Formats: sequence, structure tokens, C-alpha cells
Amino acid sequence: MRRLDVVSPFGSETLYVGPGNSLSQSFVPSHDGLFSFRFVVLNPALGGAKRYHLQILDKEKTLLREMSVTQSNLSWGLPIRFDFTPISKSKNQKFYFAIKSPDENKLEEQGVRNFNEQKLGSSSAEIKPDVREVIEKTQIQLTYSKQDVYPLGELFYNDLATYGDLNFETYYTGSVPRLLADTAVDFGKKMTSDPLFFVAYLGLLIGLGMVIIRSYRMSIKSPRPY
Amino acid sequence: MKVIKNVVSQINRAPTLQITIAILSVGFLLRCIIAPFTLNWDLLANTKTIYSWSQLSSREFYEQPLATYPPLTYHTLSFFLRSSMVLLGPNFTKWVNLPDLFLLTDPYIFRYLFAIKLPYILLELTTAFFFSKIFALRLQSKALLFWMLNPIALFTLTAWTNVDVLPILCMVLGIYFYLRRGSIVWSAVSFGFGVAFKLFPIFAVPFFLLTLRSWRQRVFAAALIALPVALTHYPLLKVSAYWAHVIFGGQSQNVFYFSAIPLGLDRVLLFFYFSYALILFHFSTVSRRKTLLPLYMWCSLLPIFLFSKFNVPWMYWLIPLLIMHLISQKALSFSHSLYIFYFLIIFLSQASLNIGMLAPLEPTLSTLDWPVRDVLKSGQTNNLLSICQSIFSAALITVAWIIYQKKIDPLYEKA
Repeated sequence: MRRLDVVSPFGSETLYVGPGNSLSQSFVPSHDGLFSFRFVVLNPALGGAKRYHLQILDKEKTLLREMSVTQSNLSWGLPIRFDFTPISKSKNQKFYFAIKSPDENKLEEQGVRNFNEQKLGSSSAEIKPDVREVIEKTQIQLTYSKQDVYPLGELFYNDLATYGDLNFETYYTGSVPRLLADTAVDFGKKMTSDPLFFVAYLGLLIGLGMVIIRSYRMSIKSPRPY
Repeated sequence: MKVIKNVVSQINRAPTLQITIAILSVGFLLRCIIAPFTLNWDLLANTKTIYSWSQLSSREFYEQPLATYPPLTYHTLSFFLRSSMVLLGPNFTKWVNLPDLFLLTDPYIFRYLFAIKLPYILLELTTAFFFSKIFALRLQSKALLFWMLNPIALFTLTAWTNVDVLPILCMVLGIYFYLRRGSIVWSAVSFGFGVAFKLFPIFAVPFFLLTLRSWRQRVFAAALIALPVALTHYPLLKVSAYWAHVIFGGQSQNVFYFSAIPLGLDRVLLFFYFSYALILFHFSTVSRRKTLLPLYMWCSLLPIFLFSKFNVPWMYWLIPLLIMHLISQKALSFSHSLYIFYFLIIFLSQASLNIGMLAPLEPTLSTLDWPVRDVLKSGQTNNLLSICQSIFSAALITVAWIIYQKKIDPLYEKA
């Protein structure tokens, strides 16, 4: 059983990941038991053979969890679930998610870099049509938002911080009673974070309860046909 | 025990003002408890579409894939939304356009859901009240209570948020004005507004016209019914997207043409038209048409449920039929199979129709896809769904048959 922890909302921007071009995102879980990271991939070569390493690193960039996938594991526009052995002490700790390609290809490396630098506005170098076609048809992209939608974390392109955040969700796991208790606590927090609604809503429920009791009593004592 | 006995005795008597208020309050309370914590994605999609109603031209508006209701419905829903803005607050517009998971974690989500749903709930209470008024005095409180507690009504309206409450209210008012007030004019106008809100009440119209005595009355009533429909559709005559999209597109192909038996080359017997015509022809042969109108009117919608893969919230159309069935029983019994298999269909469907609707309480539930299919695999799930729909259909016919057999005159007798 899993429960949603951190959400960074979907955006429409994309960055490529390919040989020599990696992306990473820092994040801070608010619960212990971190065990899943979801992100959105656009994979133009369904069933392709290119390889990727998905990694979870700690704040010192020490590798904690890793999974290797190929393009045949990735789809177009759907969230990819990277589940791993739960990290018991994750609450309020800084982690990094990283996606890297172990493949080597100088042409693709340069092409992907040119594309990403154009997208990030740091270069306006022209991309040759044949290179453009190869990159667009073979390399995966991850979706991100150009705004700082997740203030607790940062997006990194080739280990350099860039403005914006990857679109991602993290999940944590734990015993069923603990997850249910967390749901109840979050429910209470949500209710009380809108005090005007909370008071009005509670007043309405109590008021209706009183009307029911009063109407029932009066219907026995002095019924009024109409 | 004494309280329960008292309640039962109060409900079996002619209604008093206090007991009517008590029953309506029970219904309102239940709906208030459910409303802020349940969400179907149709509600958000509709709300976004309603928002664009006043911003786009008719042509642009109906080119949107989610613009699927006639114009009167959008006028009304847009009015509801604007009226609710006091409760919704200034950040509502931003909220409704947020990505799904972010929207679910918003601290104001309960307020937003409650405020959006409130007009629908109040309309339902009005519908139930007028529907109860068509019955004999001793049955009115019972009818009202059964509607207020009906789980299908609670699910399809309060949890789901169903715009069909608008045409259903018009149909109920049509029956009320006709049977209780003896007004053909107001009855016809109500039916007309029902059709202008959504097209399905049109199936009930021929039944109403057949109860009128002369052809002159029928032509007059038909003209009154056509009036609101014509007035609201006139500005859309040249908007081809509306006709292609709302009238002849969407689900209509599935509902009217999918179930068929091949009769020969290029010819099929369409179940929907066959069974609808059968019910109408049978109605034309019965002697007490006016008394039987409510039963047949709602039975005219049965072919949609029997012979199509209907949308689960459409079940709200049949609530009046279910209430008629409940009060025609001497003991407090009802067709368990109908309710069980309806909710089994929902349980076997994708998570967004069942557990996923509790996502405002626990956003993780919105990320579930189709838990039953994950366990049973696609083929088995579809087989189970087909079995459930078949048994549900049989239960539905049984319910209609039971009401018919009971000779329902006593249900409408005057005090």
C-alpha cells in the first residue's frame, strides 16, 4: 500500500535525456518510507533499445537505489513508476532523482545538448535537419514546468541547476494503520486550513440535526397538516 | 424502539408540515455529508466547460469535445456557478484549471465541491418533494423518505453531480401539474423545458399526449412542448457542431443502434426502437391512461437501460420508477438484486467510478486505474460486467412488472 507524498504539477515543457545528457531533480519527502518516484516520459521509439539508469541519491549524491530500463519499458505521455525498496528515514531529508543514459554516441550527445540548450534559452545554435530528425525520432523527453512549482527542490541539467521543476510525484509506504492515520490527519489539516468553511459546514450539520429532532418532536405533540 | 415505532407511524400517515421538514432535512443532511468529499472528474470537466459558456460564441463553444448539453442547460448551470461565486471565493478559477493531483491537495477543495454541488442538491430536494405530492396523502411521506434515502440517488446526484436533475425536475413537475393540478398548459410547458434541458424526456412526451382526450388538445400541448425547445434551439440552427456533436453524436449511436438482431442483408431489428414502440403501443390500448402515465412515462426510458451500455449516472432518470416500486410494496422491501447489481457494475468498473471518487479525502485514490481488472484481467472483468448488466436488466423489468401488477390506482387516490 502506498500513499502520495510530494507532488510537482504537470507542465508542458520538455527536456531531452540521452547519451551524455542527464536530468536530476532534488526533493524533500514529508514522510518516512519513501518508495516510489513517478515522472512523465515522452518516448518516440516505443520498443526501442536505448538504455537508461533511474537513480535515487541522498543529499551527498551517494547512490541509494537504482533501476535500469530500456525504451521498451517507456511509453508516450504516461507516468513511469520507479518503485524501489523503501527508505525508512526519509522524512524532511533531501534526495535527488536522476535519469542518465549509459550509451555513448557523440553525434546524439551533441544533438541532444543543442536541443536542450535551445529549449533552456542558453544557445541558439542551429540544429541540422538530419540531426533534428534523428533526435526527435529516437530520444526520450521528460516533462517539466518552467516555473518554480516545487520550491523545496531544484531541477538540474547535467548537474547544473536550472530554473523550473520536473513533473513528478513521490509516494511512501508503511503499515495500513499508519497510512490510515495519515489520511485522517491530512483530512483534519485540510478541514481546519479553511476555517470559514469548517465552521459554516459544522454549523449547517448541527443545525440540520436540530431541525430534524425539533420537527419530529413537534409532529408528535402538535401536528400541523398542510 | 419507541422512537422507531413513532417514526414509522408518522410516515404512514398523511404528511404534516413538521414531518415533511424532518424528512427533507434528513435528505439534506445526508447529501451535505457526502458532497464535499466525493468527486467525479465529469464535474470538473463540466465546470470548465460551463466557465467558457459566457466567453465563447455558440459555434466555438460547441466545437469543444466536452460541450454535450443543450444551450438551456448551460445557461442554467452558468447561472448556478455565478450564484455560487460568493461561497467559492476568488481563487476558484485558478483551482479548477490546476492539474489533477495538485487540485486534490488544495486546502479549499471541500468548500469548492460543496458550493458547486449545493444547487444540484437543492433542486433534487425540490424534485423529490413534488414527486411525493403526486401520490395519495398516506403515501406522500413514504415516497419522500424513500427518495431521500435512496442509495442510487445519493450516488448519482450528490457523489457524481448529475445535471440530469434539471430534466427530471421538469418531468416530475409535468406529472404533478397534470395529475394534481389538472393543468395541461403548465404540464406541457414543464415537459417542454425538460426536453430543452436534455433530450431524453422526449421519449415520455408521446405518452403524455396519448392521455389527452382530443386531437385539438394534443396539438395544443405538442405546440407548448415544442415552444421552449424551439426558442432555445433557434440560435443554434446554423451551428453544425451542435447538431453533429450533441444531437446525433456522442452516445446516441451506442444507445439507439448498437443492440440489434440481423434480419437479412443490410437490415436489422433495433432493440431500442422495437421495445419503445411496444411500450407505447401497449399504453395506447390501456383504458386508465392518465392514472398509468407516471409508470409508463418512466418505463419508456427502460429500453435505454436494457439494450445499451448506459452511463451509470443515467440511472438517476429511473429514481421515480424505483420510488413507485418501493411504495407499492406493503412491507419495507425492495428489489435487492437491482441495487446489488447496479453497484456491482460500479464496483467492477474503473476506480474513478468507485473508490477513486473519494480522492478529495485521499488523493492517492485518484492514481488507481482499474483495480478489479488488474486482478481479474480484461476478459474476465468484461464478462463479469456483462453478467451483472444482464441480471440488472432482468431486475429492472421485474420492478416495472411488479408496479404494473399492483394496479397502481391506489397510489394516486385522493384523500
